[in-house]
Amino acid sequence: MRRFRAIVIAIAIFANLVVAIPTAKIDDDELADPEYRQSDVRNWYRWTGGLGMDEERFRELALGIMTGWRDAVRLVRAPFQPFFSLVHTNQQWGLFAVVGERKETVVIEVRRNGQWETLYRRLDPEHTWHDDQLKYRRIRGVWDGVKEEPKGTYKRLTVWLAKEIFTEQPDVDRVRVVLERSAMSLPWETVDPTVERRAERYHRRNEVMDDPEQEAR
Amino acid sequence: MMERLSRWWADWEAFWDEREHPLPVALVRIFLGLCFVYDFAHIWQLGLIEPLFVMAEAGGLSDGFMREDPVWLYRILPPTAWAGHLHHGILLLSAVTFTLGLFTRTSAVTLIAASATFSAIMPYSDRGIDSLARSALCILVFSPAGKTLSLDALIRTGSVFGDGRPEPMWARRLLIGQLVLMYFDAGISKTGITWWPMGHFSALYFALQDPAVAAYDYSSFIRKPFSFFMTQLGAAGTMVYQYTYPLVLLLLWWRRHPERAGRFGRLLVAWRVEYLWIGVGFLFHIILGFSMNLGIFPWAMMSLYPVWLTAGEWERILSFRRWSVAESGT
Repeated sequence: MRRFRAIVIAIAIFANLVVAIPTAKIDDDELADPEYRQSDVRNWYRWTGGLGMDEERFRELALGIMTGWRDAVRLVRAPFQPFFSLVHTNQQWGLFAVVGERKETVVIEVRRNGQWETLYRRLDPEHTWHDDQLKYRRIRGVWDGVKEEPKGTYKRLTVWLAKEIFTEQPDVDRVRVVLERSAMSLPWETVDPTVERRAERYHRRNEVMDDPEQEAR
Repeated sequence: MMERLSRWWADWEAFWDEREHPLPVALVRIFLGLCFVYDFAHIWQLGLIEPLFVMAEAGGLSDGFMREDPVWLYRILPPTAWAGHLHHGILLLSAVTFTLGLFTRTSAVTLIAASATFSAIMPYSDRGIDSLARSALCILVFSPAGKTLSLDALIRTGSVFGDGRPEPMWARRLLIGQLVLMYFDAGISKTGITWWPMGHFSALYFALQDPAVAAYDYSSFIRKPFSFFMTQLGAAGTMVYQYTYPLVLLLLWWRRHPERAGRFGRLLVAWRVEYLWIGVGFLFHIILGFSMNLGIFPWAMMSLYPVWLTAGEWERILSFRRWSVAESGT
């Protein structure tokens, strides 16, 4: 038993260390996009002086190293991956690994008696409808970080929100859920007031309440 | 060479076979279990069982049934609302029995399986802390965490405190390893420029303005020079703290082998400098718990902290009772 335990622990420690080797999150589909991770690459370029390369070449090299490193680590992890996949865990602790200079908030607007009004905006004390639900970490995970083309889970969240609103507020006939993105700036920089509205989902009472699955699709 | 290797292996075996009273891991079981119970009861209280646990076909958010390779649970159960409620009920019930130490190992296995299934159903709602909790559960399931302060102990020995027999202490050591690995990896994963001098150590400043994770609106004062400086201090401190975290292991090793520590090392051991990292971590999580909207993250992290004290040290703290704890190694 003593020997068996020592062997199992040795393997477990090794497996966890291998899984802990950090790799940058690289989305292969986005590598061709010249804007992908551009802010980080530009900052590193400035800091290293570009290592004698022009910015484009430096970008190719940086992303190439990150992709190659990720593939190599993936290979070493392969024997242990089934266990980690089974229990849905890993040792990658990228907690706030990249904190960007843009912020995004979810906004819910409703049309009541022909007039649009804001029902919810995160951290706005005037518009707090169901704030406890929307800020709950497991729901926040659905709307925070939505990509340019929202996926199904986000779409279904907006349908569910619309259903909740239509059930609670009979005088509302339209619901609009949108993400408002704005830039943050350092204290000595000028604040850019531009707000970009994206990932907008629009729901009509008759469609959502009659056929909730239609909107989800 | 072979002789040295076999001596090293014998030391390795002996190290992982050392024993102590299971009090520290039992405390982790209780505190971590309470975080689970709170989290799953909170979902219920917020009315979020249906959106989070039920398949899209029955009004929930998950596409777990419509995927090419459906989540295993929905190969067995139909994608109905009651199946989602059943899943949530199993999670909550196993969290309660795990916390109480009733059928501890079975509860832990159920909790891992149900939580991993939830992660598969709703990957966007599964955060880092859920993954860490499952990692800790994988250790606790084989540990003697249910041997004291548990209903299992009451059933087996007639006392919730158990029979006080020393048990293998490898689980506490692995949980220490898990904490060190998590903090260090969190440090080296911080590749964003805002964590570094070139980005003016502005990561915390920006994070506190992010409506997704900030607990309050700090915009009225965060741009003031003093506030900005404090956030810079926080970001730089976080980096130093996380990068240097493995030193805790060295300090614990020197405590065990003072003869290898040297004069300076012995001084650090005598001053118990490892408590600097542990204390700062504790404070850091308390501040995070109130300033940011991170759910159970800070509290679940702290639920693992009982492993920093040996059973003997816990006995001195919980001195209302004689625990019959023999002094144990670090």
